[in-house]
Amino acid sequence: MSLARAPSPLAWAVLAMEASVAFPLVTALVGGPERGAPLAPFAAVGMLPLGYVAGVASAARGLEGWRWGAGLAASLAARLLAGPPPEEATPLGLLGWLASALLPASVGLALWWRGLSAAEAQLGADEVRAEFTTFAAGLLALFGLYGHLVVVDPAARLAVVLAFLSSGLLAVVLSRQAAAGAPASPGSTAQAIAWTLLCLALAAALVGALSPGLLETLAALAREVVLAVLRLLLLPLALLFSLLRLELPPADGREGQSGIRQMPLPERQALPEWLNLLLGALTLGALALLAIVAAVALLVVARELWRLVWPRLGRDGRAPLAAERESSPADDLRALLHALRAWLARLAGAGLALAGDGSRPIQDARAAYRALLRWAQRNGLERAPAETPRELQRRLEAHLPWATPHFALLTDAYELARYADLPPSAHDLLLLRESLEALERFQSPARSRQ
Amino acid sequence: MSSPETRPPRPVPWLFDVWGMALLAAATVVATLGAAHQVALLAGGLALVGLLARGWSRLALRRLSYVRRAVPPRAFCGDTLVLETSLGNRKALPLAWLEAWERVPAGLSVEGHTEPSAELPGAVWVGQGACLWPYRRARWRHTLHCRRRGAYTLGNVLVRSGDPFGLCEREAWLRRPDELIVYPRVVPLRRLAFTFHHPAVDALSRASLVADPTRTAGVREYRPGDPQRLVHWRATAHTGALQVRLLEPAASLRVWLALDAGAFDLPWALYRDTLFELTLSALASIAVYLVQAGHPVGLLVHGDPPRLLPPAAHPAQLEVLLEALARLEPRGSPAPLEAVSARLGRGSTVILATSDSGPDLSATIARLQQAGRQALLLLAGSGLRPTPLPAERLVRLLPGRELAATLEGRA
Repeated sequence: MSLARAPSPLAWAVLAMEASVAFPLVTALVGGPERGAPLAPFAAVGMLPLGYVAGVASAARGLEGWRWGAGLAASLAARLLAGPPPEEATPLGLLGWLASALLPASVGLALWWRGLSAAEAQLGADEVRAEFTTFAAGLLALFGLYGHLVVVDPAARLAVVLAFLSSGLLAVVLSRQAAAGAPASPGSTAQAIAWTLLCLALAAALVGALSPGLLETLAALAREVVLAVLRLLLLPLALLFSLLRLELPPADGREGQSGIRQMPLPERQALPEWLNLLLGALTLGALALLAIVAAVALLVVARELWRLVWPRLGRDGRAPLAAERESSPADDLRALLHALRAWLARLAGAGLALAGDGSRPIQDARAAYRALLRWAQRNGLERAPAETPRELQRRLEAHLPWATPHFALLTDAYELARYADLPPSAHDLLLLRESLEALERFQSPARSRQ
Repeated sequence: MSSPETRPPRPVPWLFDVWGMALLAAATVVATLGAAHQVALLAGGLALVGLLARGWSRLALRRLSYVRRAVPPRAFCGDTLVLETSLGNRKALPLAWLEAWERVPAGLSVEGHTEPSAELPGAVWVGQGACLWPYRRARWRHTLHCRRRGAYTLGNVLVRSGDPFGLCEREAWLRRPDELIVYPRVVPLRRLAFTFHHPAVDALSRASLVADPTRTAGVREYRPGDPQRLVHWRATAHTGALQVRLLEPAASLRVWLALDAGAFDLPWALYRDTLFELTLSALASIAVYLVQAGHPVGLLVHGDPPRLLPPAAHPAQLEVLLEALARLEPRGSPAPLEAVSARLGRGSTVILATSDSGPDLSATIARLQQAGRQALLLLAGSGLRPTPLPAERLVRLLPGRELAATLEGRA
């Protein structure tokens, strides 16, 4: 299975897993906040998905020859933009700046190459699983033994671990589903996401119970993430405010002073009334627009989550698959109560039969089949005189499709015992009794009207 | 998807086996004590995944039910039928992935992607994958093309599942053998090339010893011993003396289709299969024609094992005949054909099907005729062998010729 043709969530999950493993290593090579280039690791790791996209797009458009040139240019540009600025604005300084960016850019180029190869890689479930296992062990060794060489910030390390676990587990589940031939659907993706989140939550709870510091770090990380998202959402509003403050005249009439930082905030009473009203209206309008956008986004997310949880059936005409209900938890609960009652009765010495004539439990396949015939007779499905066991089975299945496995089990066991002299094992007897119990719980409409 | 033969269940990865789990547990404890939260979370998360995978895989294959149904349950050679299968998860544990593998025997071709089977040459694996929530059943539909007649067994189903992450895979066979019958190819006939002794139902047979109670030829005086049910009360009242009805002899055309299967036990497999299938198609077409015309038709197979189906004219007889023809193999029987044919009823018509590579049947045909049975011959082969029967009692089945035209006498 090529990742370029793999369902999109799987491809991005694999890339995210690889990116999370690459991030701490890249930080050691290209620098981070402590070296004055906080965005440099992100720029380098960003070459991985860009290389994947370039690989898929160039293959589709026949532009394979442009891949490496584009990768080189993108890596260098990303490094120059995200790296520290030149120390001197001289030709020599610029040259030195360019030369110092080559090595970090090569890291980005390597990740670009990895993205390109990922687009053409034939990764099956076994390969993804092996990759996850290997990366997990490697990451464990890296943080456990060489943590002082990589990302220093504890929150960043925790983010790397969470990103690796979530993306890796998701990739493993999705790849196994794809290998099993399960059609990609909102229901299957929802299961994959659900198990991933469950494992993460349980792991965090378990380790947090042993080490409360983890929970504090997790809370701090979550706070940072939320603040970053809010800052991103409020950035247009902040830009709007900063633009408005630039156009306002200085309150004390000072001239010759420019720059935002040197401009004092105007006092409200100095502004004309119409300007106050206009500012107020613009602010309210911006807030209202933001609220509407947020509400629409929430509705879209809620709708997508709803569609993820409840699978849509039959919409895709290509899928040879349909799903329907099969029994229910209520049936299991009734069976459990019945079994519990039978166990208590046996303890008390009442000796209740599990099925059959009510006097003793079924001991062989023929007795089980006789019990089936009695059940059929009670439910108006009596066997005809010349009807063979298989013909009876087909007729019963036609009447009660849900009980098909039970009919098949009882008939198979009877035929094997009757004609092949193969008695059922103890486990088989248990299954026969369970089948008879399940049938006993059914009551036909004709019988219920009696 | 890879078939079970090419991809057996994978072993547990080294990081999640017993020693790996022990290492992860130790790493979790050490990292927790050393306040290395990230390492503790990573090791603890992996250990938890391993534990979850082991427990999940033990329960994954429990309470699964598989149902298979062919629509229609019987088909003719060349037909297309739909195989409906369904797999139910009757427990509270969801299954993120599930594989159900059917092995379809040779002779039935399946639309869609299949994997060839190495254990059974000609058979193919049909993979079915699903993701099942609790108490849900997945249903599939496969289109099967019946290329050859026969009785096919759709055997047990191999189900594979495990934990959601695929770390611990398990597989099990669900017992669900089913039989699918593909009848021989039948061609519609408007008439038969044979000249029967009784061309129509109304024809009488003076040699018949059986009286038809529905046909009254006349009345006569009562004799002691006559059954009371034959008393003609109206004639009795008219004449004043007991009168009984005089019945006509039975006039039904009882036909036996006799097949000498041993005559097709030839060393050249392709020639043998071609002739045998051609002969079975001819017999099936004749049986359909005669049963639809209301004639009782029976079957006698001189082979291994021998088969004897007494003639009957009810609709179920056709199904039984076709099923018997579908199960036949070109194998001879040690018993002589004369001993078997002695069981045929007197007054019936026998259509004897054989090949020109079989033994000489002149004596057999002569004995049949001497015993009061009309013998007709259906001879499959090259057409070079002389026969003791006149042309109106012989039909030669030649490979490559249109069967309907041959049986109707147009070719």
